Amino acid sequence: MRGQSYSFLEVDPEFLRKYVKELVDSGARFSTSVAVDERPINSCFSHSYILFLRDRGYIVVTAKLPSDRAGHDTLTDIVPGVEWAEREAMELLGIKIRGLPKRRRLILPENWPNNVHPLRKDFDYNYRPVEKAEIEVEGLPIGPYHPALHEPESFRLYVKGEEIVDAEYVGFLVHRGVEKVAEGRLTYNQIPFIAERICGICGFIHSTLYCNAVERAAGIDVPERAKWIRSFMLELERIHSHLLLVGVVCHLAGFDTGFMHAWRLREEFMRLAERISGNRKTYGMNLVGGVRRDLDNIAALDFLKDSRRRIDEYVNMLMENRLLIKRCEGIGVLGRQDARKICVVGPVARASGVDIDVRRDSPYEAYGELSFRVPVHMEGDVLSRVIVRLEEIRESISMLEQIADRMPKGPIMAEVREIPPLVRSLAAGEAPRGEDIHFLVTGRDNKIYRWRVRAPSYNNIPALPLMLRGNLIADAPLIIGSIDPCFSCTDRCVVLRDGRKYKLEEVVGRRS
Amino acid sequence: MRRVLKAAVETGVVTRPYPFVPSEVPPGFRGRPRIDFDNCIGCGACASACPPNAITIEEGDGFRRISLFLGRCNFCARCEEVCPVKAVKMTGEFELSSNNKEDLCQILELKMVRCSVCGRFFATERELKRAKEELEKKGIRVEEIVMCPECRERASANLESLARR
Repeated sequence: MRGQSYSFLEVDPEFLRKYVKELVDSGARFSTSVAVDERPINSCFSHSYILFLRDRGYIVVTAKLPSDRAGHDTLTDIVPGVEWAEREAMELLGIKIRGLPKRRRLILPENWPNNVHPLRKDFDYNYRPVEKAEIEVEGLPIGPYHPALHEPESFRLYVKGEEIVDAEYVGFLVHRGVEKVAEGRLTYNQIPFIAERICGICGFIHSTLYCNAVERAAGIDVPERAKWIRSFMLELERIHSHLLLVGVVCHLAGFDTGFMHAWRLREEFMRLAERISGNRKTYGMNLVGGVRRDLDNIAALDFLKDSRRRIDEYVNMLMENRLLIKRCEGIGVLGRQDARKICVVGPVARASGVDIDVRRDSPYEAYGELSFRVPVHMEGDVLSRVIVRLEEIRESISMLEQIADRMPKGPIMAEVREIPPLVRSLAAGEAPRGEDIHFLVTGRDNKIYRWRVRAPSYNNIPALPLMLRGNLIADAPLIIGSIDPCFSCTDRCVVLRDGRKYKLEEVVGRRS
Repeated sequence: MRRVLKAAVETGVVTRPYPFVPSEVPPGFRGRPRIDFDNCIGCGACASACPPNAITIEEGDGFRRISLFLGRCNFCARCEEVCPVKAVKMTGEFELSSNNKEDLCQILELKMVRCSVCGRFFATERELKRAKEELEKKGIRVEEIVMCPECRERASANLESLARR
């Protein structure tokens, strides 16, 4: 058979089911159905079922339905696939199809009046039976898998159409008991390594603050050079963390070129960290009393020489991109008053006009001897949160240069004697995401008694519902991303299967 | 837009052809730790310093077994740092994925010595040898009698009481 062929078949409504069933039984495939209001022509409706039969082509089976009793039995029991087409005929043309399962309306909105069928000829095209649709608030789950940053967290957005009216955070899905492991099993010098793994991005601030807390409790004088090295690594960490976030914001805004360049620049800093510490992310340099590896100032200075220019070029590229700016401007706004009330920290606070920075307000390590500016913006939107971070990257580069240039000589590790038990101690620091707090009580047997870690996102995430309110669903990932939330830090995670030991019999390769 | 294109042209391709070309690691990189059997004395300093319990110690049948399981290792290099005989070295190896857990294990078995008094196995041969060498370096003569710390304590207490009489 060449070309497309179709044939029409008109049947009495009573025999519609029978004909269609016979066609289906002989192998016909149902395509769709069409209802037509033919009342102005012949006082009837018609409902045609279109089927395809191999070797016969398309067959249109039409039933004429008198207008006073326009209806017939459903065919869903013969071909379940007809349901949508039959519903459409019922809703838009008012054909009464008997025996259809009761369900919500398919096409017409819930508040559309009964017995008004828009495809009937007596329905004027510009008639509106409903003036303005009432939109109900509905819950929209985001997560627990990656709305923004590929970590397990979950939000429930309450939306009215496209607009977010409220949001709820469901977190602590990755609470794995870091503090408990540290209190129960690890010794003082083992904890820095688990502390560093609290965060997958900014771990060094955690190990530094843990060490600070113990050093304060035990009255240990950390050598100056060790302090400067710690500050160097902290600023290096801030740069790579901020570049990561700026890249992620670009990605969420649909500007993947910006994302690629941010991460390319970040990679250079990761490699510098790798050369200094032996690993690109978990530097593993902190112990109670100082640091384990010395730093080659000259090599670091050499690396930094050109990095400021490269960062500036990148920043200019971003700020010239009008699409990115428009995407980020004026969304996710957190006002100054709200920022203060919720006690947000770090770049989130500074982008909302709250001028706080632990490095300046309560200096630790070498920060008291460095000169730097704390960028503060008033707008409180996603864009200002990005700009604050971009400006901080420049400040951090300047700090790295100052440290590498002026670092004092000397030992890098203090001699650690016994750590007195039951001393309370606190250490605070400015992580890339804001103020980080480590509180601890020293214990006996070379172990701590209590350790509490409060990561910055713990204070920043509660601001998200406020930021999300009144924004569009499409902007939610960008807004959530813009506070650079670190869910694992907030939840304090680490993978450790308690008590599981690997049996020696399971392994071979013995030597003796 | 012009800047975006300019950046793309100036930067060129930065993606490295890894894994088709091996990825170099800088000196001092903390990769897979290896214990050199020829040097290890089995003192267990690495095991007690190891934060994630990757290195464990077990004794039995006259042997002390030092097991390193890389599945738990966090590559902190504390083992390398605390080893008194520099038997643990961090290598540049980082491609450790394997279908076989055994590939991630290194087990050393070191012969132990019995206490000449109570007969208990109490130290490895190499530990005693090293202790002797260290003492001799300091000019302290060491007797050949092998005694566990508890028996030695008891013996010296006896000596003291004898001396008092």
